[in-house]
Order: sequence, then structure tokens, then C-alpha cells
Amino acid sequence: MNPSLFQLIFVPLIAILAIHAVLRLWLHRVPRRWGILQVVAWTAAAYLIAEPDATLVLAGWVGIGRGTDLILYLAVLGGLFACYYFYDRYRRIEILLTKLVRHDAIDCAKKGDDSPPAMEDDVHSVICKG
Amino acid sequence: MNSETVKDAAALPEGLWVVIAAYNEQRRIGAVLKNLSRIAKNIVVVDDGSRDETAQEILRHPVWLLRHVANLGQGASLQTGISFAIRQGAEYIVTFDADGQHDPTDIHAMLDALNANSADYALGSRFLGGAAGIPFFRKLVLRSAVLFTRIVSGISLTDAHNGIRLMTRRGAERIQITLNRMEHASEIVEQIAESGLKYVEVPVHITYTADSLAKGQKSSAAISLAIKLLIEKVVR
Repeated sequence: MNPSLFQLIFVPLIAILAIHAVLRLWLHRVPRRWGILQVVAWTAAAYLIAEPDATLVLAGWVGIGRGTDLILYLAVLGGLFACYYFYDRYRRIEILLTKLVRHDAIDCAKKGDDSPPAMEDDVHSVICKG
Repeated sequence: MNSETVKDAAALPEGLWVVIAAYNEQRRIGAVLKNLSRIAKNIVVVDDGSRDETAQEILRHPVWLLRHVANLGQGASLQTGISFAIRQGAEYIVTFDADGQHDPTDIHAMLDALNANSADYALGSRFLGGAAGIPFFRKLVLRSAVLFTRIVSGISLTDAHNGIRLMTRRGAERIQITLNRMEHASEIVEQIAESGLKYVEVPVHITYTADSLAKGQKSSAAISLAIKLLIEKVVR
């Protein structure tokens, strides 16, 4: 069977990404677990595009029926997981930033009018200058 | 806010701290602080990364100024002020808006209600008191927020998003605002419900002006606020 235009474009493209992931894993540029996951994901994607009937077999095993439905479900689940993952990271960073800003604000508290400043030690005057 | 009424009002207890979050309030904060400082000895204003002269204006008054180096939101600012007040030994903490909508004399009624009911939180309600000049759409949104809070948090209030709240030290220690922006109002109510501590609602007076409405939270933001709260409930 002759490969389709889509297969001709995407199989090599994703294969390059898979090789890139292998190299990054080999050179310890990514954490081991995350690197292996990337290699497996890109290899599976290239294989499933090259051999679309394989999804039919996989779908049959899990009782879905159509291969495209299996891919759709996996894509939706992957998208939801990504949303959760990045939202969680965003919130952690936001909470951390808030703590830093709050710490600075409390440490550099000033009293208005002609009252004496809150803290007059050297550390305070250096950190809170201006 | 009637400054003559404030002038005649009795001083608030020494251990009471007023916490105000201010962002670009250069034009309004002065009048608010002038009136408040007539009755409250301890006031802490958190300047939430204002780009105008808010901080300089605050420092003209006998109040504490805490400055956020970046704009984080009203929720984050209130938590900063509350944490500071607790460190300073506050026995009671009041949250108060910076835009002049609240009446400082309402704090007396809230304190009386808190003590009379042996409660840890006194929550201001404009629908039990008065809301002069409230636009119809704003009223509708606030009523919807009450319903939303009842469903999501299981706490029954007449006004779920009122910025004037009084809490005891114990009550304040149970509150930890983590939602930095306007969602904090619902978060506080939820944490009050979860704390199991007693709360009372107290009639308060809110004065809406064109200026405060223009600066205040947009009614249209209520939907995105509700979505954020629901996401937070699902994810956390």
C-alpha cells in the first residue's frame, strides 16, 4: 500500500522528534522518567501514523471498536491532564511569588506621619531602601 | 461617608486593627484614612503595587504602610495585612475597602454584634443595612453570588461579597487567603464555614458613587470569577 501524503510528511517529522528525544535522554538533558515518556510517545505516534490499522487492534483490545475513537479519547484525556498539570504548576508559582512579595512587604513595613520607622536595624535599611 | 458622624463616634478598642487593600487609590485613600484614623488607632494599608502616588498619600497619615512590589490582587493584599496585624498582636481585625464605600461607624455595630453573640466573625451585609445608589445589575449579580455561595459553600448569607468584615484574632488565624484576586471573597466565606466558628451578619451601609463604581469590580467579571472558583474546587 502506498503511503499517503500525511504519512509522508508526519512520519519522518515525528521520527526526528523521537530521535531528538533519544539524544536528549542519552545526554541527560531531561530527567530520565520524562525522557523515556517522550521517546515512547513520539515512537508510538510515528508508528500509529505509519500503521493506522494498529489503532484498530488496540481499540479492539480495550473494547472501543474504532481506532479513531481510541485516538480521540486519548487526545482528550491527554489534553485534560496537560491542563491540570500546567494549572497546578501555575498555582504553585503564584503561591510562591505571593509569599515572597508578602514577606518583603511585612519586613519593610513603614509607619506614616512622623512616627519612627518600624525597624531600624541595618538589614532592614539595606533591604527596604527606597 | 459622613465625616461629622465619624468625628463624634467613640474610639475603637486598642487591640482592633483595620486592614485596607489599596491599588491606585491616590485620590480616595486620603479621605478614608482621615475618617478612619479618628476612631481607629491601628490601621494597616497594603499598597498593592500601585502605579500612582497611593503610597505617598498613605504615609501622610498615622497608619502602617506595607508595599507589594508587584500587583497581586485584593485577596493577597488583605492576607498580607491580616498576617501583619496578627504579628502586631491584634485582638480584632477589620477588613475595609479603600474606595470610601464603607462607613467607619459601622465597625462599632459589628463589634457589638460580635461580642453579643460570642462570634468570631461579623460579616457586613448591605442588604440588611443600606446600599445607596446601587445599580440594578450590580444588585442582581450580588444576589446571584449569594445563591452561588449557598450552593458551593453551604453557607447562608444575605451578602456574600461585602468587603467589610470583622474577625477575632482566633477567627483571623483560621483564614488563609490563597486566591489572590476577587475570588478571595468567596474563599473567605468558605473558610469561615469550614472553621466551624460562629459568624453573624450585621447591617452596614455602602455608598456607591460613579467614581467607586468605575474603579470597583465589574459585574461582568462575576462569571469568570465563578468559573475560577469552580476550577479551583475541582483541581485543589
